Amino acid sequence: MQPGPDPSLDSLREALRDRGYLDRRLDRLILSSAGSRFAWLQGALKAGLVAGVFLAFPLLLILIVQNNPPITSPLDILLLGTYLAILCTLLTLLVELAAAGAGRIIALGLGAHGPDPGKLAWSIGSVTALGFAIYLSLWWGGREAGGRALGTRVAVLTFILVVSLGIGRLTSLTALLSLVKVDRPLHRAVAGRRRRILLLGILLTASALAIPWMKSRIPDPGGSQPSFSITPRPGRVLWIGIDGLGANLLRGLMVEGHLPQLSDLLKRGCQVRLSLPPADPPAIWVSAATGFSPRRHGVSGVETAVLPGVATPLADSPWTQPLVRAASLLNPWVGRVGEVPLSGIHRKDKAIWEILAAKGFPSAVVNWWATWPADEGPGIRISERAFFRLESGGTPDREVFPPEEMAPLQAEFLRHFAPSASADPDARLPAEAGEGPIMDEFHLAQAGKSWKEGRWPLVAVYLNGTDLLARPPVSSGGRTERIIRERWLVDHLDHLDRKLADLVQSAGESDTIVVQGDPGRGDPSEGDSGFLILTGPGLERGLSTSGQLLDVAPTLLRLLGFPLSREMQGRPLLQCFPPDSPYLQDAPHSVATFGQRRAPSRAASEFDPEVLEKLRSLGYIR
Amino acid sequence: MPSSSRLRNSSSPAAEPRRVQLFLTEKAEAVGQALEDFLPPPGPEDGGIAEAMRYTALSSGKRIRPVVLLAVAESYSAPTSRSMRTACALEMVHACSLILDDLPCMDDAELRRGRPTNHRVYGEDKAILAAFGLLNLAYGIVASDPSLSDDVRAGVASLLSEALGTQGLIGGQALDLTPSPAGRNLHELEQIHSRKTGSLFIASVELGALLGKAPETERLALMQFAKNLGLAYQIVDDLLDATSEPGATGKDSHRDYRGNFVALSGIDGARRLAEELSDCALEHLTLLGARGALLRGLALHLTGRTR
Repeated sequence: MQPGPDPSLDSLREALRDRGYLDRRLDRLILSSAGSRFAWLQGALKAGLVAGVFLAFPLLLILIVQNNPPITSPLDILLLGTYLAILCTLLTLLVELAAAGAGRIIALGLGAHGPDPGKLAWSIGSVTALGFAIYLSLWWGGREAGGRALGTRVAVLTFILVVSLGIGRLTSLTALLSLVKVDRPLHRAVAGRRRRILLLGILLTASALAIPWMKSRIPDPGGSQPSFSITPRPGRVLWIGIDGLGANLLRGLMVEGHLPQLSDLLKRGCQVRLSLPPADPPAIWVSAATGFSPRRHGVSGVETAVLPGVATPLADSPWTQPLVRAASLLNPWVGRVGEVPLSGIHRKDKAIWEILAAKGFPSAVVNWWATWPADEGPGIRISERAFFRLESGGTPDREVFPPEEMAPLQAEFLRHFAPSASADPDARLPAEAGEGPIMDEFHLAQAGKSWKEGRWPLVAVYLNGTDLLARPPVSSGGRTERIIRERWLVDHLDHLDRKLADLVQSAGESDTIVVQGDPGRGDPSEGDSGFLILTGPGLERGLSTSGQLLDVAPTLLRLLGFPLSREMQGRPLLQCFPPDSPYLQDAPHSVATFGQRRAPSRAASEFDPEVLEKLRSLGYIR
Repeated sequence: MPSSSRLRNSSSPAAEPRRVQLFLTEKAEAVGQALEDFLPPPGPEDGGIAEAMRYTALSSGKRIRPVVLLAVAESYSAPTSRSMRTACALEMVHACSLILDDLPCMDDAELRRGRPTNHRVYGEDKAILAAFGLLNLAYGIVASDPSLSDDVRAGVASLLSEALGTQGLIGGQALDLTPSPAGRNLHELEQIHSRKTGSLFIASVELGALLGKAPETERLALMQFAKNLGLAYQIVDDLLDATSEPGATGKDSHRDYRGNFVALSGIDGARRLAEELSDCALEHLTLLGARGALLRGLALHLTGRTR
């Protein structure tokens, strides 16, 4: 501190601060504990509280903006702020207590002969600031919300620096209290200008290195949707997803002479053994439809936690998990952390039918996970909640698009599928078999209707009856029940196979049939895998190969004449296309991204609790 | 002068200016009366030393330090009678420092409190002896104070010694005597101020807190209050030196202008700094709540004074 002969008022002010004058309120708050017996502990508690709030505030701002849908309710913001403040305070309290503890150990170890306490406290604060800068940079780099814009990056870097320096500053005050036995006014830990610039440089470098490193470990998020061109294909695609039918079960049943239609498709087409990550059915099937991992698309399971009092659903992400934990800590005061079904509200990436919609291509989509609230086409959407709504009655809430389709659906449901309806001798299994077969029957019928109409380039249907049949919510586990249930399962699959034959016969020469199977919620130790059977013109016949789940969406896009997005994590199964295949010869150029999905304007539904209960009764939620 | 409108609007109220003025006048008179009693009466066989001691100690000063001490002690309900000896000891130490400071070998001042300096009237030899006489008496009246416990007496002596020592007045004066042809920088100025003026100012508050048995956290807040207010008071003093006519301040005008805060930051800058330091000092009093009202009023008075 040696100002020149004519220093500015600012430098005079700063120099006086370094001499212990004009101290700031923050310093005063922490250092006012000096002199008491446990000054270091009091200081740590105060600093932890202040730092917690200091950290929570910008995080709240980011959460408000980045959540999908954005959080606009003042009450939600207030509650989220409270939860974040608690969470951050817990974290910063630990840091401050650690700093205070380190200071006490140093003070006891070095006694009166140690280095200047002010400088030592400054060093402890600097190390903490560096730690926070690196931690926050890594954390930010791992979030998908980083964006690419220069302004965003500068703002993030500024946020990280300000927060790190603030917490480091508080920590230096805590450390100072723990390093000296105080009975005089404390001078704050002083850092020369050169040391300050050096610290700032180190923090900047650490952040600048940490953010890109972490970013390189995750895929970049999609930006806005660019324009792209397509290669029109003459044929349509029927995509049938059968949950609960893995590659091993398929082979076993075929050896025994079951599933003749699937056997025929397999002989005429290309079979791909799909490697699958261990995940819940919604995660698996949304990954198939989007081409992204659950971490990216946001649908990682069947249900997600809802914070008490917060109406806006939070995107299921690493963001919300610590928040849920913080809310759980407040359980006695604010109530239990709730649950809602994961749905399209939480899905961040476009499914292939939404990519098709961008070019005006209509699709019929039936019962696919995370399609509620039904998007506005073009085409037909029968969401995963439609069957539950038909069962329960009540006012429809975006279960079907177009909404006017709900009335004929209801009539059909009552006629053929409700418990009071007359049984189809070919289809019905005993009531003990559960709802799975009936659900499949209904959904396949809707898909079949759309397919036979012949006007949708893509018809996609998800059938979860086999999985439900195989894993009932309540089971004695006894041998007799197992034998009976296995028989029902085979009967049901044979029934589906017959229905499939009907659909295949309706296919034109240029159409493609895609059947995808997944072992469902089976025991992962069985080592079963999924499969994909692709049958149609321009595809290999009788070929057996392997791929991964995330290859499904790029392969379907190729079949439909749409470009690939370079941000997708899988690749088209090119081995299924012979060298002269038009799918190889004439493919549109890839695009960087198809853009991110826009969140529905209204997120919550009064039907949520009932859907949750239904999923529980079906055994999805234990 | 620093504007104090913002300060008056702060959360804890300040005592009314009239009440502050009354307190200042009453306590300054009471201190003056007590000094009369404690100082040795002039006698035919004392060689004139008693007169020389009384000349400076009883001159018409504002008695800021003892009054601040009494204000702090009273804020904690310590009666004036219990604090008066310590307040007088503090004033004697201050008078001692003034006599020494004005000597030809030091500042060589001609005027102090509107009158010729001690050595100009009694000669350098008597002036030096009078200074030591005041210093000696200060410790003496503390040591014989019957209203204080042994611990508090020891504490008072220790604080006085610290404020006077090499890290206090004596150290500050030594630094001030070091030639500085190019003018003082802020570091030097602050070092001189904090030891020469600030240490006694902080001591007055700390002594009041000791006598009033203030809680530890409030004692530390009071010391920070004194530290900031002391510097603000010094800067206001420098501003008066730089801007007032000779005789208005009662000492040699423009004498210190070359090496003070006005020279360093200009008149406007010095005003701003004094205002900010006053603000900061008052903020420290927030911890005391209503108990700090009198001190708040005193601080406003000291930094908003006209002389």
